[in-house]
Amino acid sequence: MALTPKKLTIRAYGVGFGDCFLLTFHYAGKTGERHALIDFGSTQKPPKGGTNLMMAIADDITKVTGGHLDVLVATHRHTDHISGFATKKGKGTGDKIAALKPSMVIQPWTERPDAPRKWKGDKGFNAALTSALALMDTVAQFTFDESKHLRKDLREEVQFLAADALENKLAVQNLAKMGRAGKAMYVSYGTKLALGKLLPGVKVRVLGPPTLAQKADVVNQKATNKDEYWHFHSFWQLRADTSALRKGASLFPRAETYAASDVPPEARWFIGRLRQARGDQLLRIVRAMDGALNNTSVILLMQVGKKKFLFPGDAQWENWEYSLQRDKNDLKNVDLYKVGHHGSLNATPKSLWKLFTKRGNRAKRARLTTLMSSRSNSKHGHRETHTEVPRDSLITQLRRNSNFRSTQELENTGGLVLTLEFGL
Amino acid sequence: MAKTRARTHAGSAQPTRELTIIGQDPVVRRHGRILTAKVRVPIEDLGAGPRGYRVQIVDYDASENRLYKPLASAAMGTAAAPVDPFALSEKQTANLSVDAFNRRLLNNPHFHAQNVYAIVMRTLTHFERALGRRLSWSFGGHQLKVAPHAFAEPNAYYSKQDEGILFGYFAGREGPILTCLSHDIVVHETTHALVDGLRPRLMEPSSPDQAAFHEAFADVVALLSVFSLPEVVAEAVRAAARSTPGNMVRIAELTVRAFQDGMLFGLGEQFGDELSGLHGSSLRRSIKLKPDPELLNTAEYQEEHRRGEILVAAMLHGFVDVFKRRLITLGRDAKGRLPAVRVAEEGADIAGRMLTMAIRALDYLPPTDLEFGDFLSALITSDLEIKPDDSRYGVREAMRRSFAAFGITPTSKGGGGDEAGSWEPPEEQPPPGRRRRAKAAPMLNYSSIHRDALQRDADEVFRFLWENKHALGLCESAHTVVGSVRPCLRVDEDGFSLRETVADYVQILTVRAKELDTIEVPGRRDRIRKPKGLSPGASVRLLGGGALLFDEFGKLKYHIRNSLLNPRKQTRRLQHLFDAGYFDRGTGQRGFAALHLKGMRPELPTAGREGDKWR
Repeated sequence: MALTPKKLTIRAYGVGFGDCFLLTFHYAGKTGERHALIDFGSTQKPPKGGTNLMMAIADDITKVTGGHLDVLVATHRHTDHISGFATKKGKGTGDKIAALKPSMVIQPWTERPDAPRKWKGDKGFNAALTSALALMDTVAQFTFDESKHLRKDLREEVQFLAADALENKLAVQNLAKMGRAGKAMYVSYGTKLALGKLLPGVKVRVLGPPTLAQKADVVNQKATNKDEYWHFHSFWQLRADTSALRKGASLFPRAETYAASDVPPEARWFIGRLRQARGDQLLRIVRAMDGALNNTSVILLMQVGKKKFLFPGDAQWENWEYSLQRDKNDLKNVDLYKVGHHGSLNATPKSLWKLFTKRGNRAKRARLTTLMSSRSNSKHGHRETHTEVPRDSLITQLRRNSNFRSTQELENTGGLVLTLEFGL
Repeated sequence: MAKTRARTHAGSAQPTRELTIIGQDPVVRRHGRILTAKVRVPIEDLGAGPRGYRVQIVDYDASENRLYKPLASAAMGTAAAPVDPFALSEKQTANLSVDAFNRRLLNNPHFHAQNVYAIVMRTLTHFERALGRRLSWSFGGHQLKVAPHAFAEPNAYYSKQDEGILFGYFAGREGPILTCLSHDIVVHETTHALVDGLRPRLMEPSSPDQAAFHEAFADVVALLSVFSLPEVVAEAVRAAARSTPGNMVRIAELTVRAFQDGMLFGLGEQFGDELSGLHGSSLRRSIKLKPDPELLNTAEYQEEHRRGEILVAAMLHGFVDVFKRRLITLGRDAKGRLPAVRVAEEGADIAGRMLTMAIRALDYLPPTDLEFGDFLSALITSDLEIKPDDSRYGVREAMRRSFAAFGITPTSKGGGGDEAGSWEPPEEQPPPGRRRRAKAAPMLNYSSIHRDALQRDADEVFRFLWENKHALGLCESAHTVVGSVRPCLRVDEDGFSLRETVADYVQILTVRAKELDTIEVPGRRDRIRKPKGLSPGASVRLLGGGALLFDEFGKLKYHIRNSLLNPRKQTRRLQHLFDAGYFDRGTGQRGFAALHLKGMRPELPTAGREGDKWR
């Protein structure tokens, strides 16, 4: 009889605004436990999170895993998902994770140093993609700097999102290095993962991100050009070039300007409006960047026996669209759904939520469990514009129709980890 | 720097001054020098900025957090002795190298401030002269604020809440591109500001035509404004007749294709194909568009920006047609040539005439649910009113032809007098001996109306509506508001004057979707239908309204309306809004910034599907 786990423990670490899940599969006999870590990052610590929070989590992961990770998944490169993988001359949290010598490191194909799997287009694609990611980094840096003139609340929100998109070089390098040491898998929709030996009895399907060629198949999807794909190369090129106009020199370096204290009264109201308008523009840009990177998220559907566990990273509609046209049956009877993008308004597509047959009120048998990693009073979005994260209307639905669990439960106690167990 | 004598402009009592601007945009050059033009704007007591009675330039760059100091007001002279600080004599121009000449314009924010001030004021003056009255900005204040270098962003837009126009700048292949230096962009944005004040309901979600109209009309005004400058037309003619050197052009060379290529010269060129969001490129596409009556029905032209190109193309083809026909009637030499200067003057005159006609048409439009056919009827009627004799240029006939070639027919089938396509006047008392039609609307009742007050008082106009609600076909249950009452004195270039009062009203009725087919429509059996798929409990807002044009004696000349009780049109509008996802969003009001951004290439990355979000 094939070896299958008897129990699954999911540890959701209280990273604040970020994700960090450690999955422990329990087997009978000498196989013992196998561990998979999905993301480790934060951009806003929880209210009672101490300065050594991330290190305490790394230590706990080391302790629970007994010094070895079987699988490591970095769903996408946002800081709130990978900051914990950053190294610091042997003393960082990333060094601790590297010491666990993960046997397999799974990342989206967009992080792959060579051409993406199944890509049949021109060879220049990868260069364009790499360049688009670099351009976003440039724009994020300039946007961060430019936002210093903005009103405090607007500035904080722009900087929060811009910082999330800033390339975390040390974490990215560490992930690539861990992949080289073990087995690196840069996955796209449909990638077959050979996990038989690492996680026996666990079937894992990759439901996203789709490749460019796959995305072109999506009904009504006209953007087959590489530049018009998620990364919108030309869009970011224009913005990066425009940002660079201000690099070092002013637009009119010789022109006389007013000192801040001498601004004529008749111009002040309009200047305030211009600052606000610019702030709104910057916010739109960093949100676009946020969405573009979210859509590179790896979506994993894990199945043990009849139990299914769905981990979609921060995937939004543009990523989900391909799978939702193909995998409706497979997605219906999910038992656990990791809530996408910390509960934002657009990372749990309603058409996905409606598919779940196990959602329902408390009387529902074998009711769906939803698990969210998020933070109260995050700097992401606003209640007035219905963009707050987590989004109230989504949380109401999750509470009403599932066994809803959130790392926010840890905020009052200052606890490190929320533990869920599933008999398999 | 040149002192210019203040003078009174033809057809206007306002004294004007002359200012230098960039003719089209910085890439349009003559012998390497940026093509400039002189324009006349109303003279006023200008403060530093410039800061005048309708426009205030504030040169703040929000990306750099820098407020540039303006040129001292003394440099602009006085009302009695105005100065154009950037005017150069021929000798001064000759003494400057090409590079120095261009740098003097490109690198000086003071010139940019003057450029936008002059173009905004010229556009405002065009509107006020065409409509025969003062115009108000929609935001309530008197001075529109303008930021020539607002931010490092490939966008330029009018913002009602900011009471201003914000011009961005961005990276081009050969350095920064400043949108404030493109004549057509400045006019386009100013037109948005003016039309928003005149017809605020045109930004309401409605038909595909209405969504396209704001952009298209701004492009039409921008293009005709640019081509009403003889300096620019001369360049276009030179470009069209390249093989005719010297000061003469061979008429045979001025084909429609050559005109199109000539007009393309420089339009939006600076922005390049890959940055086609700003208006130049859509103008370029409009000019290239070949007449096809089926275009409006194709899927590609349902998107608002693309659809607008059809309206612009119809106007441009009409312009080229009139221009070409006019040149044929002029005397030429034995080789079939005309002086280039004369050709340019004719082109500028025709563009100016058509610009006035297009602006006047705004007063003859229904205030809600606009369709392109309404605009054509409005064009014909507005021109007919002040120029009954169209034989000199044949503009109205050319418009009917060119619009028909793009599948646009006038909404009004009949017309006053012999003019096809113009709006029909309200039904009159039948001539003696004739009986009224059995199904004719009730006669208008003026008995309790103060006709003098009707020409300026919104409450009096409302009373007129109230007393005539059946005759005018109004919906009794709807909330009815008179938007404005504007007496006008329109004067054409021949001195013919026309006194009119233009009023408009809007009717709003909010019902549940399931109640739609219970709304009774007098005299009709059909009903407004709920869009398929819309929840019966959904809140639906119906809009209707009309423009009322009274003659100088207070008698109604035209009632141009889109009735709230028009089942066919309302059903079509609701279905379109439902298909476009309007009911998912809950609101359809979008700002001009978003509208412009949406039309940009490369586009702002998509942000999910509305129906799948947790709004």
